[in-house]
Amino acid sequence: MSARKDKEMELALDLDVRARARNPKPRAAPAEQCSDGELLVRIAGGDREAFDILYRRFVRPVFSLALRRLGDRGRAEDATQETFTSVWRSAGSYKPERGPGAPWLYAVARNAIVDRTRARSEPPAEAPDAPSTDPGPPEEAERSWLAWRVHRAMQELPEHERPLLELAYWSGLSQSEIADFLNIPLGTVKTRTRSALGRLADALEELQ
Amino acid sequence: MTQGPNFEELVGEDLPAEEEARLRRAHELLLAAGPIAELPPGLEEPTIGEQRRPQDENVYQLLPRRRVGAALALAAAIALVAFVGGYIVGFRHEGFTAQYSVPMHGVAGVDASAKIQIGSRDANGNWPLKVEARGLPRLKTGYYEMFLTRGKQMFTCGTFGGAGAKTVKVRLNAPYQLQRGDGWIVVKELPGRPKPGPTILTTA
Repeated sequence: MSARKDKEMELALDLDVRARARNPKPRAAPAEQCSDGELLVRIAGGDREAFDILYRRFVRPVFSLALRRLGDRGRAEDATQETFTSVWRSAGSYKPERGPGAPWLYAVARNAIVDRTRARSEPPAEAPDAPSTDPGPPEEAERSWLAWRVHRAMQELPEHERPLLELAYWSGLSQSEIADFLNIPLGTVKTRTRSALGRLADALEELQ
Repeated sequence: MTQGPNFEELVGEDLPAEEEARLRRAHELLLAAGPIAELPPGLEEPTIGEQRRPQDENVYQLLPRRRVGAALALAAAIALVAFVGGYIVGFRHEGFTAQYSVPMHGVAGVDASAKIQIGSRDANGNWPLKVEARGLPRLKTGYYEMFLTRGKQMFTCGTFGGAGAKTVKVRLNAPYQLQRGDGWIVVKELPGRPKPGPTILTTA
């Protein structure tokens, strides 16, 4: 009797294991491979790793946007901190069905920056003698959004490729100067630059 | 039109038309976007959300709670004594008395760092500087130059060479009135270039 009971127990356990093998629990994708929107959903559930990854993807674009708008590194740093604090607190308000994560985060950053702009106490401006040739608010908004997408895409490039584009485009170095600066062969600079531009084009297409 | 690198020089001329158009679009967007800012040290790592780390729930209590405060106070007192002692010993030698020091860090993938010690202003209005840099890339050509930065302005404080894995110690001079909010950068100067080269170290 007892032996039969043991046998039944073994069978039950065996069936349970087989059933689990047939219908494994769906495993979550590694956070590094998640889209921005998926990371936000995870952050809403308190996932610290997802937050770290989102932070690394966006901290430089957020800081660049803030610096461009505020023109002061200290206040731009504060606005960046505030942006990510808001992301951590309010990721639950992100609705994936309404669109990707990057525009949502852009709006959060913009709000934090606008708050910093309002907080600044400026002396009353004097009336200019001639109309300004600076871009107006719509052009500036369009340019900021474009820069945001490009800077976000740059963060997706591998570490050995990103500095090449930064040095070529934003430090004004020629390819041979980059080779000298990074102490790598000129041919490697050319190969990596072309590869980096290709990856950037892919990332920008995904962000469209 | 924004100045930038020559597209054909960057990618060559042997690309299929479709691929060339795709890369050219990325090239134009890069030019239109403008530079991305280097992060200040305070933003290198995320500092928020710490309180929700799951591993914090399993921390062992090594000391009774009532003793933790006393232990922290003792550690802080020891650290203060060590810091003040080190400050006095480290800063008061070779006829150089540092008033304060400023850390610098590498940019664009450069694994280098430095510390600027700023001495007392002399009778002529100069601020002597002692710069100790580690991990500066070895130069085949050119030299390094240090600038004081104020907004968009840059003021040279001197040049130096001799870099590599070892520490470089140089004495420089800032003949300007230092102000709160001033920054410092070290750039690599390349022969024949009229404008400052790429930034290697920054305080930003």
